Amino acid sequence: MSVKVKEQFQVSPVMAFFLIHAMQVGIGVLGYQQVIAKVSGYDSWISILLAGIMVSILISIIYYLLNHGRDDVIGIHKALFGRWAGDTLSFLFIIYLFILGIVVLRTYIEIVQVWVFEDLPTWVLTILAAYFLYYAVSGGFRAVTGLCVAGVFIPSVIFFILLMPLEYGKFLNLLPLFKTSFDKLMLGARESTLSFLGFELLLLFYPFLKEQRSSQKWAQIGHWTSVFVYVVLMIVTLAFFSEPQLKMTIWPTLTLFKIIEFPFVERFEYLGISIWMVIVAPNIAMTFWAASRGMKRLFPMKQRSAVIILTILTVVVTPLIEDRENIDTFNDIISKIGFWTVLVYIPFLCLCQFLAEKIRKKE
Amino acid sequence: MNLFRRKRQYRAAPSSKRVSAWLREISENSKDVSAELVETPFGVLTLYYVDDLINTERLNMDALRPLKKNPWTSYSDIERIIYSDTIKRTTDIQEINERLFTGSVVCQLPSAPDEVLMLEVPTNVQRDISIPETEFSVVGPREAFVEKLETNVFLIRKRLPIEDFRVKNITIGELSKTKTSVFYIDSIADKANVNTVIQRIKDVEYDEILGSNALSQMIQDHSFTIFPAFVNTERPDRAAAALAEGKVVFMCDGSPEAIIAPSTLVEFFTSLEDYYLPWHIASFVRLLRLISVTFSIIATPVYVAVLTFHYEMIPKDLLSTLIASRSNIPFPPLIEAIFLEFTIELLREAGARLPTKVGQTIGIVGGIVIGQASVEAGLTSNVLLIVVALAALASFTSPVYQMGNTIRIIRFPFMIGAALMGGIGIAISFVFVVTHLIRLESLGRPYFAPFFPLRISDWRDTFVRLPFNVLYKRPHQSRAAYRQKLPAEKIGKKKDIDE
Amino acid sequence: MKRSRAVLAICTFFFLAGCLQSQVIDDISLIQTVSFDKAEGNKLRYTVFYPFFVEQGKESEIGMEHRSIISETPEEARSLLNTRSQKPLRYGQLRVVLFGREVAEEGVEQYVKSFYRNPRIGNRVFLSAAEGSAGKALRFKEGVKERIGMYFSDLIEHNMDFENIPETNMHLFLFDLYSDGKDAFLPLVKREDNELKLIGLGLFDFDKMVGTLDMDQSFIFKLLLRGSDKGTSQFAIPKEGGRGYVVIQNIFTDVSYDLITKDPVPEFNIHLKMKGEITDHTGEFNLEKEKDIKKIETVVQDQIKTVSKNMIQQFKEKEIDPLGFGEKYRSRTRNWKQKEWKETIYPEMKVNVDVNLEILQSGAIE
Repeated sequence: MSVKVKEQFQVSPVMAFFLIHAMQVGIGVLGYQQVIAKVSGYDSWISILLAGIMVSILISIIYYLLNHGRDDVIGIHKALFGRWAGDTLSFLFIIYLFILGIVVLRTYIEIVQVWVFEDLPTWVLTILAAYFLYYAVSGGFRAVTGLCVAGVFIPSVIFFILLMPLEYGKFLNLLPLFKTSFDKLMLGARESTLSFLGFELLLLFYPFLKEQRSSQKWAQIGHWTSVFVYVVLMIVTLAFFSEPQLKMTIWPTLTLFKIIEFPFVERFEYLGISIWMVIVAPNIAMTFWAASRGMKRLFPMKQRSAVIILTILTVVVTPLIEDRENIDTFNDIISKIGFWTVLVYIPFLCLCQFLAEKIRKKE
Repeated sequence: MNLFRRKRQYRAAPSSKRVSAWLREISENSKDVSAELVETPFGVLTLYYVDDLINTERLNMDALRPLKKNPWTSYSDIERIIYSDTIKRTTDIQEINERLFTGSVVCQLPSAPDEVLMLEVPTNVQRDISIPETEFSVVGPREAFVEKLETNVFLIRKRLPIEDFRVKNITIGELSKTKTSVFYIDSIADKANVNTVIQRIKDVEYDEILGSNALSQMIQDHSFTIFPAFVNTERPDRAAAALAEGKVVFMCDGSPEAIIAPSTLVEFFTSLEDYYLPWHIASFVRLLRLISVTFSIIATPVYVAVLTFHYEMIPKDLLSTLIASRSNIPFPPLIEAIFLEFTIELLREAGARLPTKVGQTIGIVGGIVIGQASVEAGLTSNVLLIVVALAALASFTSPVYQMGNTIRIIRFPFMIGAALMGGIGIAISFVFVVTHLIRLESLGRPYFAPFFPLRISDWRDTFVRLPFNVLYKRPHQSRAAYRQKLPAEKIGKKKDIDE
Repeated sequence: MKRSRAVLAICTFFFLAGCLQSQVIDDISLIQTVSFDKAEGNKLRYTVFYPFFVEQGKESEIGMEHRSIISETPEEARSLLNTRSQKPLRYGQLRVVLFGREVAEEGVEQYVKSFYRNPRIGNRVFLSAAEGSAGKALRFKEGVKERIGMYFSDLIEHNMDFENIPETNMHLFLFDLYSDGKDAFLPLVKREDNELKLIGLGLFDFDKMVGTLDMDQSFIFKLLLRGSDKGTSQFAIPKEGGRGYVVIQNIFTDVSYDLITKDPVPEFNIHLKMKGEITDHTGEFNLEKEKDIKKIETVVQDQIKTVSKNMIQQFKEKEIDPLGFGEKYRSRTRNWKQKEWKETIYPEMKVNVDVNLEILQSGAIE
């Protein structure tokens, strides 16, 4: 049942770090602060920590599932629920991944449209992105992983640059700690979970890791690095903005960029948005790789033709999502689906796997 | 496509003919094939040879003189008299054909005209070993490869006087019959690499092999890429160093360059001088090179992007300088930049085609006069002139000439991206280039190493060059059979104080 | 296949060309200063100032143009002004926004918000208020006219960096404006004898200007706000038969707020630890003498204390909190309610100021 991936296409377990981290830190970093702060105010960073712990447990659950199922999620679905039900679930999962990719792409284009070029038609960047996606994904999993590595290393400078707004930071804002009630903190943690979405792709790329079991360590380190980045950036943001000001700022990270000034360049956000492409590109490429890989496993088709279908769909669908409200709705829907998938469906799947094993043993 | 698939037909030597008749025929067809009748006290013999290919003096000394002194009657007598290991008796027209045109003398006896003796007496025309031109370094040896393969083998062999150093010869090209040597150190080099190189060279079916560089393009993994797949060098020390790292080196007879395979992107920015200088200085120089290459690619596009779209980014103190320098210029920044880049490329190309002395003059005249004049005429701004000139200067820092060419070309897509979509356009070009680099392979090994696949331990010799006692391992890239460069007990030993 | 794909890609790329409107810097006019004044009805008079560069001719010859228009919002004003300017006007290099007194007193939130909303405009833009009409304050005939955009922002910047104006820009103004425990302030300028002059600070209650501080108060205000290592002020020292004056340059000041009790009313202790240098004096003092230095120290300490206390009293009367007592109180309490603080606690609050001045140097001569 389970597919063996040839060793030459596999990547070392360390890459789990880059894959997880690159998938988690994406377009969301530009605006997650506002969403969380609306719920849990100046204690938002605690919410993120809580969410971080939650997601860490979820990653362990995914690893339990995959280690025992010895396959990717599509194989596990088939083994647990039989051909029809299993394949339908897998198909839904693939659609989710595809829409996730499109939403990320559209959100990035929107940011470019709002912050850099008001008159940029959506289809221009979409077509370029389609070219890129085809080129990257046809390089196979290794190429996409390489992009993730580049997408972690190259922009890592930005993280330190984002500490510069502390020039105006007021840590007094954060005090007293825990002034938000616990239920609000948990609600904030729920919002924060959305920032960490992306790790569920592990369900598909797991067979492409060498020494799969030992890669969990790296996956967890990758996740906790993301948590660190999110928490530090949240603290910087909370110190930088006063609460009502933060609540009216849609992209706090970009507003943080705006205050950064170097002797040779002012208005760092223009540079920042451009560099952000290096972060977003592996993100989308990875979802497209996963979706096309899933299609290959489900239907009798080559992955190459799956990618072509997906890119053509992207070119058609993305420009249809037009204004801010549409994008928001899409973001909402996809994050709700993502939330329920990771928080409810994955533990459920794990439970099924556990029971199935018990039953098999008895027989 | 059919054009290439059609079976090629060159005139091979007809095997059906009789040797004597064929020899007579070719000596009549081609002016430079001589047929000489030599009379000796013991008989007459006919010699066929290509005039310019053989060393007449040696022919007289080694062959004709003994034959005039010692009695002989048959081929076996002659073989005994002319004591040489290159002498060979044959009746095969194919073989005669091959060897006649690579410097052998064919000796035919009237008594047995269809059997011949062949003796190799090639001329020894060659250029003296001179100093490297494109990879000049201030410190280090001043030898460069020459066009003669045997000399080149000698140059490498004297640096690696061990049995393990192997040379494999392959002849390729139906027209050029190019002798190609593949070098490797048997106990270090990865067998797969060696076999791949040999196999790929053997598979080359092109009829005219122009030289090492042409061959390297024929056997590279991706033919559409703009990045050179293999480092080429004219320095025997670099070739020897690469061999010692476990790489495979090959070169063709007739070209003074060796090709090192597999290579990584970073190797194109290293020079052997990095190892001759103290490591701090070497690290500084290497960082400088990498920064200047980035600058060279990015500078003009950034100028175009900022001036076309992102005026908000200009610091206020720079603003009036920039606007003032552009206020007289009628063209958009892209045209301005391309005009200037074109001028610089023109100067570079003209300088390269002309003799050194004239080339220098052209550079100065072009650089100063054209630059100044175009600023004064209001065709380009002086800020851009500085940017472009610096970028051009920076692109010369790549120690491998071919990478310099790549850098020259690759800035144009960046520039067009910048003119179309500003910073976003540059980012798009950048992402495409990075993806391309990640996908590239050199001899089946990743080209973008040690960044991807990530090999942190190789970073000791990537952006910087750490001291030799830290560089005790061969890089991953060459898949060396054993990686230690120092005896294991010497690694990481530190003496205690006063001991 | 491969080739045709590459050709297709290149074609698309060129096809994409020209879908974006370029804004080459010499083809646009960069607004550097905007001023707001009241006009008839509910409208405002906007004046924009932008440099122009002489084409064809001597390079780097700069002139300054200004245009003004009456309208409701800054963006609308820009599009109306575009009908009258040679090149399209752009806000991207905006440096200073100046509000006339009347506008400032009526509330500036909507204007600042509209600048904050516009991604073209940086957050380091200086906002300031003018005594009287803002447009007139900037309309000069000669001299600084050419560089008014640069001149004005440099004026504020160096006063902020080295003198008595506390740090301010659009971001900080908005931070204070929206903060529930702090009120905002802006530098105040005035036109005097064909010169632009900083005269102090304008204090805001939410977005309305309700009071001012002069330069000497501003010096102490800056110290109380965040501590500082900049600023100079002159103090009068009583002496037998009149007064002497000393000029003290602040070298380093550390300020700390201690909330000593919360019940029944909060009481703050402000410790101002100041290290200063006497850069000049009128000559009556012997700075070699320990006694004289001590005397100067005590007198200056008392003066700073009095000014601070009066200043805080003034704030309380006007119901504003530019020093951010609210923030400090909030950070120490769990059931923070802004309304309660503002209406009942703040007016009752007690503040003790404790100044500790240490004079370290007194110049290069005795």
